[in-house]
Amino acid sequence: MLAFFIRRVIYAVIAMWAVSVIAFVIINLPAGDFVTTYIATQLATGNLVLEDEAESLRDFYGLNDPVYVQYSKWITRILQGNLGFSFEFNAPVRTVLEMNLTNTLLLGAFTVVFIWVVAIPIGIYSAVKQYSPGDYIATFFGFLGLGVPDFLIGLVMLWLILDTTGFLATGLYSHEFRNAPWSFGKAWDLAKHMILPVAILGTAGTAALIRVMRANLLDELKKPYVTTARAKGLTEWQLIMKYPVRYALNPVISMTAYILPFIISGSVILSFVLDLPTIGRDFLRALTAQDIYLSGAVILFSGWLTIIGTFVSDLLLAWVDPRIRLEED
Amino acid sequence: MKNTRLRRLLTAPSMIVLSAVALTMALAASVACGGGETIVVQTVEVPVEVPGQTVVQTVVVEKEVQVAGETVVQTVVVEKEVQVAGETVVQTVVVEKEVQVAGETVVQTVVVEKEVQVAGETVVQTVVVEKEVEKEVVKEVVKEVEVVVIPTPEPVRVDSPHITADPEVNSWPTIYDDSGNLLPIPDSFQEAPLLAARVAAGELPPVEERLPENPLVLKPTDGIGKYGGTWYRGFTGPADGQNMERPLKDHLLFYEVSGAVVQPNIAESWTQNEDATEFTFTLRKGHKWSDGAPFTTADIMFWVNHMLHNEELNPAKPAWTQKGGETLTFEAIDEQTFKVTSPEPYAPFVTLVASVIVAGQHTRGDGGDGLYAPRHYLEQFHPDFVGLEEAERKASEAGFDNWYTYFLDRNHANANPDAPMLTAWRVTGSINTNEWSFERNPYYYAVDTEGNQLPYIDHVVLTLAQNLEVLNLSALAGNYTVMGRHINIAKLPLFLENAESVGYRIQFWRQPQSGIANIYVNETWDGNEEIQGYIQNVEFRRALSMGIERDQINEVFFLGIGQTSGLCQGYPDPDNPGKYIGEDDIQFNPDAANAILDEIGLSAKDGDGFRLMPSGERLTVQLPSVVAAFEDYPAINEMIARQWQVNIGVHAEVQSLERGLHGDRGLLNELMTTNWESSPRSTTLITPQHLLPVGGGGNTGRLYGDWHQSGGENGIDPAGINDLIKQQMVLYDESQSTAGPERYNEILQRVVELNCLNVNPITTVMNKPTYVAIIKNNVRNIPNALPFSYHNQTSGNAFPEQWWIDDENAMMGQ
Repeated sequence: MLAFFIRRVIYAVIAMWAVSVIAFVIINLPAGDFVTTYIATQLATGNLVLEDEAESLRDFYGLNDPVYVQYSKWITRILQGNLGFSFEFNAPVRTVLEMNLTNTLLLGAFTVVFIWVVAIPIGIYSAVKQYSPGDYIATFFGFLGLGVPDFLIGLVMLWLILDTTGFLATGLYSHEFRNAPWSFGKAWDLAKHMILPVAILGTAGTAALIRVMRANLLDELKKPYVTTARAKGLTEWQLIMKYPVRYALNPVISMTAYILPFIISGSVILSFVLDLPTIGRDFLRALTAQDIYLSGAVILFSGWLTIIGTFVSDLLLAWVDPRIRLEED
Repeated sequence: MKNTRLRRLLTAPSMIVLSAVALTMALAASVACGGGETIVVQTVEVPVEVPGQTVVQTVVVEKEVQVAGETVVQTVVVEKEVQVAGETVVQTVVVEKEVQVAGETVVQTVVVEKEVQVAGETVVQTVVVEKEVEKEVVKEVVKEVEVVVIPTPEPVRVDSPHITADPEVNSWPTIYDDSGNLLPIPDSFQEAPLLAARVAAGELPPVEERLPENPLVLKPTDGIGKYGGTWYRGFTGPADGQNMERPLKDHLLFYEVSGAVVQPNIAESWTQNEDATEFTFTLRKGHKWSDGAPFTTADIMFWVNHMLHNEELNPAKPAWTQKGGETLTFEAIDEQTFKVTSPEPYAPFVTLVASVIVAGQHTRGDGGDGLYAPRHYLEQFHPDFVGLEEAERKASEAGFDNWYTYFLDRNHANANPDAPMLTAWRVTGSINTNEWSFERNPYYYAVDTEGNQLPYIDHVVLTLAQNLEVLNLSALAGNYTVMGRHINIAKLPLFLENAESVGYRIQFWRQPQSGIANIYVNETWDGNEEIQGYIQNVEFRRALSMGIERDQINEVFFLGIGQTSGLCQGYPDPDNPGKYIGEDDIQFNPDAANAILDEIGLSAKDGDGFRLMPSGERLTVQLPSVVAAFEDYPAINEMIARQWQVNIGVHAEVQSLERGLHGDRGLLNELMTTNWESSPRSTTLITPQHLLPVGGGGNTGRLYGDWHQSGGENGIDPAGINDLIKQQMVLYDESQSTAGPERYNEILQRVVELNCLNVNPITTVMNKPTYVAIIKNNVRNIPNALPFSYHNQTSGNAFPEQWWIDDENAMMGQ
């Protein structure tokens, strides 16, 4: 087990280094740089930026350095805990990310809980009552949720609500709570605003999990030990919950790897459409504005969180299911 | 093997009226090839099938046959204009055919591109047909083309009761009385209930002590307002600082509403010497920052000595501080007076100080610029005062790499609510958050004519909407009080539809006298001596101008919301004395135009009805058009060419050019005309290259521009050829060196009037609204019509401190 653990740690560190290089390459891929985009934005709103002003901005932000110099400065600072400087916010990246961190974690956590609470029971039901009307209905909505992109559902819902009630269902807080300290009123306000995005984000995730749960459980239900257990007189409920469901949950545990990055990046486009104050929305903006250290930090952490998530889920699986650990050795 | 290059041109000279939405049309054309080079012109009748009726359409086929090389390339261009009951649909069909002859088999590719323009939208449709043809050199091509005419949407109604734009009479706020003196200072002062409560609680000194000794007195647009309320807006993120920099106008001097005349703002007065080398500014005695600290010349000199001259804060000095290769000299005379000295005459300096180019701490502070800075607050972050070590320590504690990025962050008022400000509202919530908010500045230096301290509105709250669609939806849902920025002009019909139920009105904020698609005639074009004689003739240009139907262009390309006036008439501006110049030249008047053309030797016409020059050669005006630029210039030019053909018998040829190629050919003096925008009148001397052949420009005469740019070494001196253009050059030179502020403004008027007198450029549609402003019905005192400009920071030129919200929550001053 220890050798397994050490080997996993080494793999993870190498992968994290590779991800940092890839992240930096990605953020430098688009043509032009922050200053080019800045000028274009200014022009679009009727402002002028002079050429020498642009050059001095580039010097100021260090954009005239060669790429490898920019990378080594960047990664060195990150290892020291300094995520760099956001050009657009004119503030440290850490400050910018912290601003919407709570919202992002809350939205992500609620969504994950929503997915589990909805998908696991439905998945079990679909498998046990295979080909029943309930299974068909769950399957239908499951595939619909998988097939329709979340931002489209978001746009349609936004328009429907605006058209019927005159209320624009964007954001996560009402105006009076936006910059207010935490209170019961603010939490209640947030909960109300959370319903629409959590339901939309959850629908897609739910669909996938229902299918996984159903397929796994169907495999298990056909195995001889189930028949044996049934023959021994276990009640149907005890029987299903005690063994087949536990095995079927294995893939759910390995999905932990994706939950961590999902919390940050799962809501990018929906956040943009519904104007949710999350890191995902700031990330998209940073990408389009070529605010490279901000977008770089998000890409890097999404990558690193995937690696950490995989690492954790490997350990969890090894702990839960000894067969996996043995195969590794 | 015979190798032929064929070019055919089909045009439909007559409009056909169609009631159908789709029709199928057969184009038949025969191609004949012979040795050498042939040009054939023939007329073909094409039947057009319309459900229920048949229309016969006459098509002129022009064929150009060239023989060269080993490949047969054949291009057919079909251009048609179809009029559908009251609406115009311009339709271009380009058929390009490439025929390769190899042995006995001919591979032929036909590309049919169709562009159907339906008021405001473009539908491009491409059909590619490849086929193998066995043939000799002479061949017959019959091609069926399916044309789909999309029904035109309901045109936008500009006479909607919800649009309050463009009145005949201006109502503008002012700081002057009828005789041109500053308004008298009221005897007593009142304040907002919000502040009165704080005074009563002992948190603030009384209003008399907060105001400077001589506050700025402002006469509101319509009348005295009431205090209170919140002004809701949307913003798109940290880069959208201009969103509030514009209405807060932190400039030392500012303009009156039209943007033409400089007037006092933060500074109470200014003077300049005869040769424009010394400028003296006087601040208001007793003026205070938003935290109550005095605002004096020490704040100017702090900026000069510790920011402008600091190599880390300003590695490259702002362009406006440079003249004759040196930095301007700043000197404080006393607490209220400071002097700026330039090594060379610098006449535009005062207008620059009033404009966004210089602006102030709120607009420019985050870049280390801004002419003044809150010394008492910033000293604690500057190494000159606390030492480098301490400054660096503070920066790294706050998470910044070095002292100067932290220092600039502290001076970035939009992001730092701790920074003292001079503006009507001060920042209370940072622009880097989801809600950027402001509260009234208790020390604001302006009052209304009854002594009520401005602003009237208590708070400004901006909600982050990174997605412009969300921002526009919010405006549509009535979430904003006044919002012009970021409103999408294409959504105008949607905004009109909801105006009544949501309760807002719509104003157009236009750039006065700005051209959208001017035709500039390059008077030094020398491709043909006889034609050059005509394009240099102001009467010829006048006739061309009178042959344009501007209303049609406005309807088809600009939703009908542009204006069809000329450069000098463009706006109901009382300060525009030359507004009658060229008035007749922009009217559609084919009779007068034809009379002029007959008189200047163009009375003879060829078989197609096009005018011939005395040599017997057809006069062709070239209209090179940049593709994929701000507007659809090729399509606009097609329409103009068509109008000239029908109305005045002048032949025009439209050539589509890629932007870079257009620029290169322009510099080589190869363009007879240029179709391009022009900046608004008020910035003509700041960005002169559109209208004047100076500063790298040369639209009205490339070689004249070269002559001015090179100081007389290259190009042609317009003296004796076109004295109007020569006058523009002399006036421009004066404006950049010695002209005093009054003279500068006079020159600004005069140079544009010279364009009008010279009928160059020939304008088409003008003054497209830059902002479509959505204004809640209960908001008062917004000037109408509000001219838009960048240097004048619209909506700042509407003096938002005197806007007020008329609802039950608004309260009278005490």
